[in-house]
Amino acid sequence: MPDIAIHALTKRFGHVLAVKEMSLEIKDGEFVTLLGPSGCGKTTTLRCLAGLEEPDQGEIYFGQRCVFSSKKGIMIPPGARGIGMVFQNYALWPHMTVFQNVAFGLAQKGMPKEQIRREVASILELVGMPGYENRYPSELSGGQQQRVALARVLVTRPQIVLFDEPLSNLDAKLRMTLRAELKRLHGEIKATSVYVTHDQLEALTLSTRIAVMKDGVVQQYGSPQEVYHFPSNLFVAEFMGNPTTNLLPCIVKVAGPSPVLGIKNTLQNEFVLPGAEGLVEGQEVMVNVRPEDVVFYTTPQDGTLAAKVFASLPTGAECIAYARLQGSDMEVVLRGPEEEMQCLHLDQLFWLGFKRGNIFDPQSGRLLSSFGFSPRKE
Amino acid sequence: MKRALLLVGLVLFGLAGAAQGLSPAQDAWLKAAGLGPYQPATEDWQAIYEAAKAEGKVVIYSLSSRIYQVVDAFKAAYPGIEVEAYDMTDVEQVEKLTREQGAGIYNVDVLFLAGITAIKELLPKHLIWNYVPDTTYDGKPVAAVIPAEFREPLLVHSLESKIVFYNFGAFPEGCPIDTLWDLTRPEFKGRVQMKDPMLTEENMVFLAMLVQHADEMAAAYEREFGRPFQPTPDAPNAGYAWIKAMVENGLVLTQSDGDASKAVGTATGPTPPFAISCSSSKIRDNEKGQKLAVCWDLLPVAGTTKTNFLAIANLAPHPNAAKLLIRFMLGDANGGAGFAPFFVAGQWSPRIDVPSKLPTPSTLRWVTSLDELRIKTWFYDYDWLYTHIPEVQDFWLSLR
Amino acid sequence: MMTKLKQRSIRLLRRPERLWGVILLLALLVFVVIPLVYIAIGSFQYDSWGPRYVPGAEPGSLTFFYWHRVLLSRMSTSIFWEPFLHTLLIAGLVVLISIPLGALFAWLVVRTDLPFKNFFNSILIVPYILPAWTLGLAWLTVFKNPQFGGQPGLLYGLFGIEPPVWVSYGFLPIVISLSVHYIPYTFLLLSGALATIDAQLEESAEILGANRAKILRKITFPLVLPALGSAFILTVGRTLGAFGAPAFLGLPVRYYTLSTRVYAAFSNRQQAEGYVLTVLLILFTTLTVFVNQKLLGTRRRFTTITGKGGKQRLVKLGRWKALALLCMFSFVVLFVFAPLALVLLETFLKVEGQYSWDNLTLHYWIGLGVPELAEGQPGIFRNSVVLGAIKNTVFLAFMTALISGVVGVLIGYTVVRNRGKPIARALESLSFVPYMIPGIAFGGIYLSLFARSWGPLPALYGTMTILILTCTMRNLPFAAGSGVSAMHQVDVALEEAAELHGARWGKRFFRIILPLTKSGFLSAFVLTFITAMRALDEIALLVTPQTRTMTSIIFRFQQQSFTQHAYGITVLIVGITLFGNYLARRLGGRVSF
Repeated sequence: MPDIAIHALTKRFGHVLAVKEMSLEIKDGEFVTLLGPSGCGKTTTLRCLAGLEEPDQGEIYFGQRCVFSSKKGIMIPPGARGIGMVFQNYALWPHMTVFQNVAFGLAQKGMPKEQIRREVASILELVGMPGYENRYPSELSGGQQQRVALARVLVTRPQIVLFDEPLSNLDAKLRMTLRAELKRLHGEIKATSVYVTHDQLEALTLSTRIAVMKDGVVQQYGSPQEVYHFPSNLFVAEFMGNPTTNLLPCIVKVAGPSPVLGIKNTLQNEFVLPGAEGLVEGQEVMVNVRPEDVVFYTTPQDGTLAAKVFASLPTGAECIAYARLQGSDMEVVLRGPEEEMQCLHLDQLFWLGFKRGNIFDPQSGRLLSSFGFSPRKE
Repeated sequence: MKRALLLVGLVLFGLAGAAQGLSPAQDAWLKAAGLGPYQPATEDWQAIYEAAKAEGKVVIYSLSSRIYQVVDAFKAAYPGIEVEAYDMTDVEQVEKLTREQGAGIYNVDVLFLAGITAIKELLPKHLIWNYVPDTTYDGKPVAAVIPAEFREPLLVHSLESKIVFYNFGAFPEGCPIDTLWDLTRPEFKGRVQMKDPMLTEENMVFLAMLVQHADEMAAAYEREFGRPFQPTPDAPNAGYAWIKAMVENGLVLTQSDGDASKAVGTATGPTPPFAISCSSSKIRDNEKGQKLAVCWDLLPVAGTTKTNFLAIANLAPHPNAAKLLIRFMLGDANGGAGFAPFFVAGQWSPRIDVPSKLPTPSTLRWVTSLDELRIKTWFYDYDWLYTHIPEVQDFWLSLR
Repeated sequence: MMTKLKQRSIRLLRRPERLWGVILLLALLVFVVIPLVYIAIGSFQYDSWGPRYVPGAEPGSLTFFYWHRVLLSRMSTSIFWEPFLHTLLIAGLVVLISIPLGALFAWLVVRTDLPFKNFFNSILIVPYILPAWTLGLAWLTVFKNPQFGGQPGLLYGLFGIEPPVWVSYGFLPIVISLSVHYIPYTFLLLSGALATIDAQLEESAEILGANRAKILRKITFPLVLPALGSAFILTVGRTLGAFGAPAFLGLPVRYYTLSTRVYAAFSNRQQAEGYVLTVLLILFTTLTVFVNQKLLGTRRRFTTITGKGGKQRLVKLGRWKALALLCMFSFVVLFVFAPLALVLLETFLKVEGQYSWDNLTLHYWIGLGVPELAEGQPGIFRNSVVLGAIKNTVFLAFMTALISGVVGVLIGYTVVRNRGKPIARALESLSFVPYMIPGIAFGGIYLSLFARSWGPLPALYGTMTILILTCTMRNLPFAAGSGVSAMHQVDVALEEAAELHGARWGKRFFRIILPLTKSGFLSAFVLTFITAMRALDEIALLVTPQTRTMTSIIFRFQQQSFTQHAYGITVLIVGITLFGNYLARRLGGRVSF
């Protein structure tokens, strides 16, 4: 399976610059997700890969083969790129049966009828829809339609598969199930896959690497772990994680190996961040702590912040609590297993500390340092 | 519809049985208006005028659009009376009258129309009433001025003939043909025009009368071609044969008499078209520079003559104004103001004191008396026509 | 038992959508079903011509005479079979020409990078907006054979070329007029369908390796098949009953179609024969629609409007662009601009057919009556007959549009709120029935039926009411269709929320529903207005001198050879119609039907 190389891709729609000089390398067999809010350019990039949009500048290589180059004037049509694409709306042809839908690509290649029949049967088996050959799409549920759409793509054994938010039309439970299916299929077929979604959870669960995009620019390109735990800027930090991460604007009161920081614009709220090195006294920073990395104590501790719960949401397996820091308007979200949190009650006063997180420069949004993490594995 | 027919049927029944069989409403109306059996021998025109002014207006359906020119003249002559004039074809008038009266709507007063249905259906069913005004022309009573045949069963306003037009520019010596059968010759292929008989009863009558006078047509045939006429299965008599031959010779059908006559009158060159069964009054277009002339001496006949009737509608709302209008249109003692738009060449008044107007140029061969008209053309035979037009029409329709 | 029935009826009537359903159903019964039954019966009765054909026949008594005469007698060829054949041929050819052309235009405008899309979108609808006989008139202006009286056409007048008769009149010009007139149907329906096809359906085929042609054939075409089917039904249905063009272009050469034979029969007062022909025409139209429905299956099978629906990529025409543009422009010039220009020009000619500078005049527009011209008829704007007709026409069109609109919304409301129930289906089907009835037959039917009074209904003969009634009923399919689709846009929840707040039906209707369907109502109003303005077929038999409309006097003026007047009024209608259409589009309505 080839890798995909994107060089300096630029695409404009009228005045709007959808993709800005984007460069990305996707290794063979990877499952890369383009993640970001709407308008960030992820779908455009995907469609450029597919050949459904023609970029203004840049180059795209599938392995050694150049499929697009603005310099050399190469633009290979979608049908000749050897790719498969799964659409958000399934794009199953309503006037054809499941069999006719799935067999379409094979018939284009001129495969003999008997072989087509076998291939279709086996792929339907693979996606979990055996025996549905003679049904029409209108007779199938959303999840079933998406499976058929998958089958249609996979049956032609494309080397590269592109996914355009294929699960966003499905309900939550179905989405989970199909995510697992996709992961399994990718494991079996091992095609180089590029996946577009705005759902960060999906990206985290499915990908080998995630490219977080904003306004046409890749903000960070790394493994799910990297992107989640070591976001390269504030945007990525905020985008990843659900519920949203805690971002606290602070000032360094006392520098050192275990610096003391205070919540900006408050008098008392000071806390200690052991391991947050390289900070200078008086420096303004943005502290990022994921809800699950917030520790709490029912009795006051040194270096912790006092807070009061204003909403607690038990989810069955765990509990999410929203608290407000005493002496300020700042809100902190924390989560943890049920038995530990015992679901903090409303108005309950408690003290919290931060186990691990990141520190950002509030002006540039850049990552300054992280704290509390054990040494990273490569 | 069914109720109207029932009413009509009842009236017919009544007629057939008893003497008059009128409904009480009709009877009352006739009495009040002084019409029908209640028409006085002498009419008081001043009283009629006063009554008409009280009525305020008169509504007339006219077969000619020249009625609008009469409207202004009437209003000038009889101030205080509005005239609502509508021009419609005969069929439209019959249709409208029948439906309205069937629906119990009476909003028309005078009908100016021609045709078989007027005589054979409207009159016997009392949808219209005949009215001959008691008036004088230069002291002579109307009975002495208008012959009886033009007063009964319906008052005739004017006569027009349906004849054959030729272009005198191409034929200055006179009509180039001597019989109708000439027009079936190859040299006249596609050069004869006629208003579609399906669009107007008059033209169907023209054809029908040729069928009625089949013997005369046969004689003309023999004269033209030098051998006796032989009927065939699709042309059972000489009349039908002529019709068939004309269609096969490229007879051109137009939407109106005017189209046909204009084609003839404005043609230049040596082979202009001819128009048959065309309204003789179209010759007035010569004043605009056309070159129309009539073949009056054609054999077996120059054409047919139709009579245009004036009648009062049953239960008319303004009977006195109606009387006034009818008298006016005949051309009353004040002159011919009411008749003026119709006092044209090719249209004759039934009054013997009104001369026949000569066409332009006045040197054209012309018929100047009604007697001569009677000889040169066939007047309508209503009874025969009423029963035989359907089969002539069918014959026409079956021609391909 | 009685109380149970009473209870059920009260329950039934309490829900306003059910009450309206019942009322509307009854109204449709009276105005649609009963007339049909009436003419069916009438075809078996002797009329006033009966005794002239069959001596001793009693008008009103039952007989097979007319059916025999029309179908089996030796007259049947001329009365029915030949005109029927003509009708079929015309319909067949019109479909063969207008549907592919309309589809091609739609594809070019919607799916390719053809420039001037907005221009073409507006212009290509015009042939439908113009009354069908306008093109016929224009055709005659160019091709009129000098043999046929009146002045010869342009070809002869300017170039001395005498066109053969079969070019000027009959089959060829009728087919061309009607084809051009109905191309917009297909164009509109197909543009709509093509524009709403989910782009991804085609893109996925493209990715799987299919080329453009294959995609068109296997994906695009099957998806627009329902739209094509609708176009077919509409075109055939209308062509079968078309009256104006065959009347102007066929009658002079005795080329009859079923519709002109119906007219001939009714205008000659041969009612029963007219009824027989009408029944046959309706039967045949219905049959065609039926067959078409069966062949194409249920119309709702494919919803091509899904979720986001990606933006479609336009096909690049490349070197074909110039040719395509040339063809489109030629079509537009030949069949839209030229005819209008010709008709307009003709109104300024003192003597028709003479194209010279000194022959230009405004007389026919604003001149006082002059005896030498048009028998003294004053110019259009000074002609009381014309002005009266204009007044009548505007009134007719306005009332028709208003009543139509309200009835349409009510039907829409009832159908959508009673979705799935038999009453909704019955209403929808019945609303479509007038479509099967050709306009000319409609006129004849309503004439026979409503001329006289029926119980509480007064006699309507000679009133504007009967004209309004006929036009409204004729327009019912369109009104119901737009009413239903407008109501589809309004979520039930909106009305239910108001109901929960205690608003009674009247208030809900006027405060919630009508405002929400306002733009749909307005555009339907305007469209109905312009349709009613140029109505000819259905009112030809109904107008009386007091209720003359512009179209009826055009017909009359044509017959009297007052060409300039006829053309001038046509120009007026065209002008008003085009303006009305412009207004409708500004109000956000899409022209449908």
